[in-house]
Amino acid sequence: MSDIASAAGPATPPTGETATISWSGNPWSMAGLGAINVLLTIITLGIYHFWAKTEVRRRLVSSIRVNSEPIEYTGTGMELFLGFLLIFAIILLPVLVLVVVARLVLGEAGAIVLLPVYGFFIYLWGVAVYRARRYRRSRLRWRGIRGAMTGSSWGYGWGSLWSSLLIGMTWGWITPWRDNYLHRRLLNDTRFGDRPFLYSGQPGPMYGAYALAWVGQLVAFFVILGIGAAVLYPIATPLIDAVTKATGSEGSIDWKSPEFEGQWPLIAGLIAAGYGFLGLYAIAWSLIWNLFYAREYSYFVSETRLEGLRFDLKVSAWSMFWLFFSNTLMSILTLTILSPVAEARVARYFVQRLSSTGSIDFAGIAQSQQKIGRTGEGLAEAFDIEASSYFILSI
Amino acid sequence: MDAATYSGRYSDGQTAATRPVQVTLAATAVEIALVDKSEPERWTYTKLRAAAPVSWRDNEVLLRSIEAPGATLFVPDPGFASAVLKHSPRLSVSAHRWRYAAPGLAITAAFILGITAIYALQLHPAQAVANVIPHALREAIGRKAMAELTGDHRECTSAEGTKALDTLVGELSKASESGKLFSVRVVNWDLVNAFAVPGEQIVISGGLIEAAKSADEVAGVLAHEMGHGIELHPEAGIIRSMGVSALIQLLAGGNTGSLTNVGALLLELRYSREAEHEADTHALRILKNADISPKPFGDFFKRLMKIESGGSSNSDSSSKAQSSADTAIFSTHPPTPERAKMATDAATYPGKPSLSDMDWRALKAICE
Repeated sequence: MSDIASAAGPATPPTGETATISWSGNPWSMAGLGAINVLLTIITLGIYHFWAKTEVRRRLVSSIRVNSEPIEYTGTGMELFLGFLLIFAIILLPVLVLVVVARLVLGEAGAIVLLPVYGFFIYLWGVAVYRARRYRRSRLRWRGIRGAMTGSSWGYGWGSLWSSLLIGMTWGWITPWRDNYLHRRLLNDTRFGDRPFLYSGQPGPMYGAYALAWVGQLVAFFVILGIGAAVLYPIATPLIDAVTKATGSEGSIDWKSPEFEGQWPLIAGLIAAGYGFLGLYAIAWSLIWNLFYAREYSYFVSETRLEGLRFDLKVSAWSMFWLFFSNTLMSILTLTILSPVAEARVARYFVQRLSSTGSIDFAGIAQSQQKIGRTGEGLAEAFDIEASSYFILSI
Repeated sequence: MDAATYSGRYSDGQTAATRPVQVTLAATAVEIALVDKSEPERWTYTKLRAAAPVSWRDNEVLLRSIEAPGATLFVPDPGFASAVLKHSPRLSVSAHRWRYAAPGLAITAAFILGITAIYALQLHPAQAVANVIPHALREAIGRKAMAELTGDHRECTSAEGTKALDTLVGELSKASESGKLFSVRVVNWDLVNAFAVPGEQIVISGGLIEAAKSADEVAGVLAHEMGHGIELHPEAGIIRSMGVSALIQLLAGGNTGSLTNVGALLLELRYSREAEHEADTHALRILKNADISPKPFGDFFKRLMKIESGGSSNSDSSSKAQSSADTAIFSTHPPTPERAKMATDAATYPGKPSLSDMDWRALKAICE
C-alpha cells in the first residue's frame, strides 16, 4: 500500500496520503448473529436490544476500511441502556404522568395537553437525531482518532422543528431546501479528530430531481389508476349490474339478494386485484422517490470536504430501491432475524460506491479534544431513530 | 514460546499517522517494536481489546489496550488471529458473547426477582403511590371517573330519596371514624352493582336498591364500599393498571400508547381477595359503630349467590328474569360463602334499623 511506503519513519511524517475507502467481508456472515440477537432479546424481555444493536454496529463498522485499515466502533450496550433509562426517567415518565393525570381529571378534554406534548416531541426528535449522531461520532475511531460533533443539539432541534412546519405548507417543496439546511448544520459540526468536515452544498441542484419525483408520483398514480380501471371495469360489469339491482329505494344495498349468487369469487378477485394495483403503486412511488434520494445523497457527498479530500458517491435510484425493497422483504420474512444482514448490505452498498480524490495529511490530524458523553442516544432510542444510511453516509 | 513475528501497523492515538511495526507474541504481552524506541511497547494480554470479536479464522485483527489509551494496532496477517486467541481467549467470539449477554441477563433476573419479591413479601407499590396522591387530585379523578361511569344513565335524585340516603351516608361516614365524608350517588341502572370511586365517592345502582329487602342491606353494601374508599383501593387499582401498562411500554421500547376510559377501567377492576377482606372488615366495624346488624348484609350475599346459581330455589319469575342481567356485581365484588358467613357470624348484637320505614320507602323510590 502507498501509505506504508511513505511511512518510512516518525522523523519524516507522511504528507499527502490519499484515502481509499473499501468494504471487507460478507453481509451474510451476520446471519448467525441475527439469530442469537433475537433469541437473547426475547430471553431478556427486550433488554438485550441495546447490546444486540451495539454488536451489529461493531461488526459492521469494522468492515469499513480506509486505506485498508478498519474503522472501530467503541460504543457499549450499557451506554445505550443507561441513556435510554435516563431519558425514560427524565422525559418519558413525567410526560406519561402528565398525560395520564390530564386524562384522568379532564377526561376526553384532557387530550388538549397532547398538543404541546406532540410539539415538544417533534422538537425532541431533532434534538435526538443530533445527539445520536454525536454519540456515534464520538465512538467511531480510525487509527485511534475519534470523530466528534461540536455544535448544540438544542439549536439543531429548533431548526428541525420550524423547518418541519413548512413541509405541509409548501406541499413538500421545501424538502430539498430543508434537507440541505439540516445536512449543512450536521456536517459542518462534524469533526475527524481536530479537523472539520466542510459542506458547501446549495439546495438548487437538488430541485430538478425533486420536481421529477414530485410530478412522477402523480403521473404514476393516474397511469396506474387508469390501467386498473381499464382492466377491471369490463370484468366488474356484471357485479355493478347486480349492485344496481340489489340497491333498495333508500339507497342501501341488500347483500343477501339473489343477484349476488355465484358472484363472490368475482368480488374476492376484484378486491385482490385492487390490492395488487395498490401494491404496484407503492412500488412505483418508492422507485420514483429514490430518484430524488439518489441525487440528494450523491450531491451531499460531492459537496463534502475533509482537508484536501473530496468525496464521490455513485448510487442509482434503481439499485437503491432494490436494496431497500429486498432488505425489507428479508427482514419481514425472517421476523427480523436477518436484519443485521440487511444493515450490512446497506453499509456495503454505500461504502463500495464511495470514493475520494485529493490528499490529506493524516499525521497532522490530532486527537479530538471534545468531551465524550457517558451515555448513549437515549432520546433516539426512545423515538427509535434508525437512520442507518445516514449513519454510514456521514462517517 | 512461540516467537513468530507479524507485520502490523501502529497508530499512537495522538495523530492519525500510521507506521509499520513488527509484532511479537511474548509470554504475557503483545510486544510492538517501534523504530524510534529501543524498548518495544508492551500490551498485556489481559488488558487487550478488539474492535470486533476475534474468530480464529480472521485474516485481520484490530487491537487496542487500556494501557495505551487511543493507540491502535492493526495486524493484517492470517496467522495472527488464532495465535493471539491462544494468549487472550477473552477476545474470542464466545467470550465476547457471554460478556455482552451477562448485563442483560443480570438486569432481567433482577427485574424478575423484584417482581417476585413484591408478590412474595406482599408489598403494595401501587397502594404506596395512592397514599401520597393529594386529596384534591384524587377527588378530581373520582369526579371524572364518576361522570364516565354513569355515562348516559340518569342520576336518581328524588328529593325524599336523596334526603334518606344522605341520612344513611352521614351516619355511616361518622361511624367509619375515618374523618372522611363520603359522597354517594344512585344511578338509574338495572344492574345490581356498586363501586367505590377515587376521592371517597361511591356509586350504587338503582337495581341494587331494588334488589335489597331492607335499608340494612344497602347499609352493608355502602359500608363495604366505604371500606374500599378508606383503604384507597380504587386509587391503587387505577395506578396498578397504569403502572403495568407503563412497564410494558418501557419493555417495548417506550411507545406511549393511548389510555382507556377511566370509568371503564374501574368497571373492570377486580380487587384481590385480600382487598375484599379488608373492605369487609371495615364494613363490619362501621356497621357495629352505627349499631346496625350485619346479618342483613350476609343475607344479601346469600341471595345474590342464589341468583347467580340460576335462582333455582326462587320460583319468583321476576328474579329469574333478572338472574343473567343483574350479576354485574359478581365481577367487581364476588360474593362468596365465606364472606356471607363472616357477616352472619358478626351478627352478635341486635342493632337498630338503619332507616325508618318511611325513609326506606323514600330511598326505594329514589329513581322514580
